[in-house]
Amino acid sequence: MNGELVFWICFFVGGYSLTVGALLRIALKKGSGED
Amino acid sequence: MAQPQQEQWSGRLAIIIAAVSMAVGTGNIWRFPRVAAEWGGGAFLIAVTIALLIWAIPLLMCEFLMGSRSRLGNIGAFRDFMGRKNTWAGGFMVAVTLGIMFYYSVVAGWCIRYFALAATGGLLPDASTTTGATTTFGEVQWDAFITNPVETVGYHAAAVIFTTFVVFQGIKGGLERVLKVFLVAMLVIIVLLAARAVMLPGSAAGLSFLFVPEWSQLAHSRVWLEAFTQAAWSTGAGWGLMMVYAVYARKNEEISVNSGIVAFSDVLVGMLAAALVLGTLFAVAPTPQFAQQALDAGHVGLTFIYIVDLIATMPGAWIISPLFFLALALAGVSSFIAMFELATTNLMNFGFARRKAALLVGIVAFVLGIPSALSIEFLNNQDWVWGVGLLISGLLTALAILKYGVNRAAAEIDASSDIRIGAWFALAVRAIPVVFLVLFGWWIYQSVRDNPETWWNPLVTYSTGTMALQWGIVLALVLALNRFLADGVKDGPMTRPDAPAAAGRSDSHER
Repeated sequence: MNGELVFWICFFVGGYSLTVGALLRIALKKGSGED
Repeated sequence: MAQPQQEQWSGRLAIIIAAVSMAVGTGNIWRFPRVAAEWGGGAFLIAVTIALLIWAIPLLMCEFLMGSRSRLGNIGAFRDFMGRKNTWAGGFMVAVTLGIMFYYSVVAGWCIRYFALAATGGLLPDASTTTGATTTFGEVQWDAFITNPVETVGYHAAAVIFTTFVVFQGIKGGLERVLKVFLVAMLVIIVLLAARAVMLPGSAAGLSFLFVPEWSQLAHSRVWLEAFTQAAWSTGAGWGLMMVYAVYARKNEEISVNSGIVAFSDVLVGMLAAALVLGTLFAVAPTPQFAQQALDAGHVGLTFIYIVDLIATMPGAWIISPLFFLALALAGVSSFIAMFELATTNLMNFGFARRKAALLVGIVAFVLGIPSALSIEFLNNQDWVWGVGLLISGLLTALAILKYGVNRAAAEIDASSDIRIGAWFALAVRAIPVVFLVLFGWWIYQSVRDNPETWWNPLVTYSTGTMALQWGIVLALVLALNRFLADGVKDGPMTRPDAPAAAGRSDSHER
C-alpha cells in the first residue's frame, strides 16, 4: 500500500471518525437528558 | 380528559443509536461502494461531504425540530408547522415513505434469507454444484431464490412479523432494545470485515478507487449530482423518519449535533463498507476487469451474485459469508423498523393504540409488499418512483420550515445546542428549493434521455410517466383528504384549535 493511499485513508476515515467522536462528546456531555 | 403519558427514548444515546440505525441501511453496503468507485473516489467523498452540509444535515435538523416541537408524526407536524391547509404535505411524505416500506421489507427478507443460507453452509459451493456449469454458483442460487414465490413471500413475511413484534413493544421496550443490539453488532462486523479486506493482498487497487481523489472529476456536474443524490437517499433526510424518532425525544435534545452525528456516521459506515466491498473485490477477483464487471452489475448483481461467488473462494469463507449477510440483514431490518414506526406513529395520532396500530401496519405491509416479493420488475419500479419522490418530501420539509419562519427555526435550534450554526442553517434551508430543482430536473432528464420513445408511458419501469402517474394519484388523494387529515390528527403542544388558520400566524414569527 503506497504512502498516498495511506494518507487519503487516514484523511477520510480519520476525519469522519474524529467529527463523529467530537459531536458524540458534545451530545452526551449534557447527561441523559431531561424528561 | 387526561392525555396518556408520551413514550420517550431512555436517553440521549438511545435516540442517537436509533437515528443512526435508521440512516444506515442496505444502500450503505451495496450502493455507496459502487457509486464512490465510479465517480472519482476521494473526489466523490469530498462532494458528498459538501452535500451533507447543504442538503442532508439541514433537512435532518428541520425534521428533528418539527417532530420534537409538534410531538406528532409527519401529518400532524406538517399541520402545525405549515398550517391546516397544507396538512396534505405530511400525508404525501408518509405515502412516499410507505411506498418504499412496501418493497423494503422484501429486500430485508432477501438479506435474511442469504444470512440463513450462509450460516448453514449453503453459500459454499461443492464440486458437484460447479463442475461443468455455464452459470456461476451465485447466479444459480439467486435464480432459484427469486423465482420461488414461497421463499420470497415467506422471507418478506418474516421481516414484517419480526418488525411488527418489535414496534408492538413500544419505543423503550421494543425499538430501543433491538436497535441498540443491531447497530453495535452491525458496526463490529463491518469494522472486522473491512480490516480483514484491507489486509488482503491486492486490496490496495480497490482502496485506491475509493479513497484517492481524481480531482478532475470535481469539474463534472454528474459527480455533484450523484453526491447530492447519495446524501439525500442514504442519510434518511427527507424521508420523515427522523421527524418520527424526534417525537419521542426528551426535552432539550441537541438538534444540530444529533443531525450531524447521523449524517456523518452514515457516510463513515458507507466508507467502511466500501473498503470491505472494494478491497475484497479487487483482492479476490481474477482480473481488475472482472472486479469492474461486478461493480457494473447493479445492487442485486454485486451483492447476491458476485460477492457470493467471490467470498466462496476466500479462506475463511464459512465465517466471512454469514457475517457479511448478517450485517446486511441488520442494516436492512433496522431501517425497515424506522419506516414501520413512521406508519405506526402516524396511525396512533389518529387515535389508535400502539399495539392495534402496529398490527394494522403489519398486515397492510405484508399484503402490499407481496407484488414486490413476486416481481422484481415491480420492485424496481417502486424503488424508482418513491426514491425520486423522496426529493419532493425533502423539498416539502424545507418549505414547511420556510413557512414556519426559518429565522425562528434557526433560533430554536441554536437555543437547543452548544454549537451556534443558525446562520448557516437558515442559508442552507433557503438553498434547498434551488438544489431540489437541479436534482429533480436531472433525474427527469435522465429518465427522458434513457427512454426517448417511452418516457411518457406509465407502464415502463423507469419512465417519467410512471412517476407522474403514481405521484399524481397520491397527491390527488392527500389533497382530497386534507381536511380529514387536519381534523383527524390529535392535538399536540403546538396545535391551536382556536386559530385554525395556522398558516396565517406563522409569518409573524419571522424576524
